[in-house]
Amino acid sequence: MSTVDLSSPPKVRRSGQWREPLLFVLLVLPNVAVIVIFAYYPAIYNFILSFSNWDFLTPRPEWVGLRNYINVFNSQQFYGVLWNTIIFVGVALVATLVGGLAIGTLLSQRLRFSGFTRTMAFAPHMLPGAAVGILWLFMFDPRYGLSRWLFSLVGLDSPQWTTTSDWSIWAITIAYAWQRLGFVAIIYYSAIQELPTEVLEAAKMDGATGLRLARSVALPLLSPVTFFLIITGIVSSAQAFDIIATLTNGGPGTSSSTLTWMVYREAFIDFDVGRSATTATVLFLLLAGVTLIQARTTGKKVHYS
Amino acid sequence: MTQLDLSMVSSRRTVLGGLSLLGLGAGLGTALAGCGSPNAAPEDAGATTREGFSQAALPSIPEKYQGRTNVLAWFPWTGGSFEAAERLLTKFNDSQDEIFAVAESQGGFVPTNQKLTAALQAQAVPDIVAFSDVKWLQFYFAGALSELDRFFDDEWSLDVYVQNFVKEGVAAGKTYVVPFARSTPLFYYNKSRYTELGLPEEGPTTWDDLAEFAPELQTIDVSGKPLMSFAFGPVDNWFGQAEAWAWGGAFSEGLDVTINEDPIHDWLNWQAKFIHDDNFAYMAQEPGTDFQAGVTAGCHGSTGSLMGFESSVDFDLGAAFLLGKVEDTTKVPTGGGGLAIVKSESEERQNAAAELMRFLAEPENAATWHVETGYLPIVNEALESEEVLALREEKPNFGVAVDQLANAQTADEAGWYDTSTVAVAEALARVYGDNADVAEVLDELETIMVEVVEDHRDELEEVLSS
Repeated sequence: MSTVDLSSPPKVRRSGQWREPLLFVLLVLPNVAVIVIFAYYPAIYNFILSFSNWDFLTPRPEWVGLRNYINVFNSQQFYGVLWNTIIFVGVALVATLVGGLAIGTLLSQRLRFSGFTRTMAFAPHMLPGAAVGILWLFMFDPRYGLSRWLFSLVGLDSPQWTTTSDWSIWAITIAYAWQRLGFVAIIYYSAIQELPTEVLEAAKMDGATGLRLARSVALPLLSPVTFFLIITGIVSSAQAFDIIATLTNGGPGTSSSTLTWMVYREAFIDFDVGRSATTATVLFLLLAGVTLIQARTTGKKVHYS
Repeated sequence: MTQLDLSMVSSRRTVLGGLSLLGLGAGLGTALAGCGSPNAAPEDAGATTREGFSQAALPSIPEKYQGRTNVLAWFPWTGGSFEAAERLLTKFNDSQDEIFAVAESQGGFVPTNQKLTAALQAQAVPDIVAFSDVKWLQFYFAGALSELDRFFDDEWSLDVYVQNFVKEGVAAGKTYVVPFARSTPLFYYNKSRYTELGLPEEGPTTWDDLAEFAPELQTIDVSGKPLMSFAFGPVDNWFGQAEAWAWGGAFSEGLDVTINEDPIHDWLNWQAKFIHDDNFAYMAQEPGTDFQAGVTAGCHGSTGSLMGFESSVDFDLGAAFLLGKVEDTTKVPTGGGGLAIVKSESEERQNAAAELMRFLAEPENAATWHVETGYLPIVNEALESEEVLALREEKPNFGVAVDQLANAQTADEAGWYDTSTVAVAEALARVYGDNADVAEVLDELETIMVEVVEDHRDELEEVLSS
């Protein structure tokens, strides 16, 4: 009996050890399969194509080694477009964070019609980018748009927002920031609602008020949300496409082209798949790098409790 | 418990890692395999069919057309033009009982090319595709298009078409595209404003005329702003081709790029002065919209826009030949679309597609298409048909479009690839919008166009050989 008693339990444990991992594999497999097919495979295929010369149509991509990378990094146009991307992402990010925090703070006050106001603030985020682009195309029109009226109030002519290189990058930045602002505001509003009142009360009892309270207590408590908004803001704005397509088509010249726009243009206008894949790879590496740096620097300053 | 937890974490990581590696490995393997296979050229390039290339998904087929050979046509048109095309296809379907043709709008010429590219990758293709001018060459070189000469006979061949449109559908002496929705650019102007100011009712004939009329047009106030004489656009490469010819220049002479020569400098410097120094014109995001709104008294547009303008403007619409400069007669580039048959596994469907093309080239149908859309009549017999003559009588602007046909010719070879046309459009936009230095712009443009020609020299020489 003692022999049986001693040998049985390990058998049960071995069976249990396999059952749980097996169940785990079965449960995650569909998700992993979807990720592999629709995320990893295209990304890896894109990376492979970046070493090729191909127009989508010829039977085989031609292996060209690092030629596309050399061409990209030797191209003045690339650095111009990279700079556009930095301006677009940077300005849109700062504007939406500052503006979103301000609007979120206002929304959190106990005011009349606050529910309606919250809905209105969030509404632009629900509009498709193409619709936002068309809307702003009319507002920016220097001859019959809202811009003409606004500038006329101070006796100035409206800038040629979408048809001159000096202004086109600002046109797409403003339109994009306007669209995202409501989203950031609502996220901040929700986070402000969740701020621990006991901490705020304690700070007030210690004499902290106004800006001091916001800077030393509220903002650090909001840092996880800010960190989230920074990361998603960078990735989302770097991928913006539809607003650029409807407002400026990346022009005049390449004055409002971002890296994402160039990926499209090189692939589907120039049919230069290798070059496009190279730009996409560079964009991916840049975003991954920025996110990593963010995680290692800003992430350390984030307070989760 | 702690040990158990840790082991589970460890095993999950191992499993995930294993799955990831498996996924990456599978992806890599498929990707490498994919490099060669999805769109491999047919074993016999001269074959009339292409194994494995089936028909793209069809919309639902009405009961009365069931059991026929189905032909799927991908058209770039939207709105009224697409509806006109659908009416013609319905007429075709009702005219016989063996073929059912159905059209799907792809939203524009560029999306059509993009979607056909994807369709070829998927090996599920339409039977007929409408291409913009010579933007079918990439598909020809991929072996995707069916040679059309084998379908021609005494009643239907290139001879029935207006010859100005024929050259763009021929490569290496063989026909791959036949004319359908062909157009040329026109100079549109607000005839009401011209009449009001006592300016010539027939509009300007040269750019110098326009510069002369501009100060008078600017005496008219439009919501607090002077009426502008002309609005350029951000994608003016097609019109720019005609302007280059008007100044005695060209984008290229054969395969020699001439975009950086004196006539082109003269042209762009003249336009820069016209816009930025004289303030007689400006660059609009949508010139046609500004023209319809009465903000500008003139703009360029396709003959295909004629019907739309006629029905949308609330002033007397004027249409004139494109403006001249140093040349007595301004040549105009042909544009619009032609029809090609996509090579597939079915010879039967290709024959049916050719029957539809034959039908669309019948004078009566070509005339109907012209009358309903404003695109030019594509066959010689349609030019003198009752329907076309009646339209000329009723709306003389259509007569202007047809008369200008005598000046139509194929665009210069250096502009046959999208990379070049986009580069030209961007260069013009920099001059029109930014007042960029013309010499600098043309230096950069020349570099791009030379590179494109050199990249495709062999292909272009093959196309041009006969």
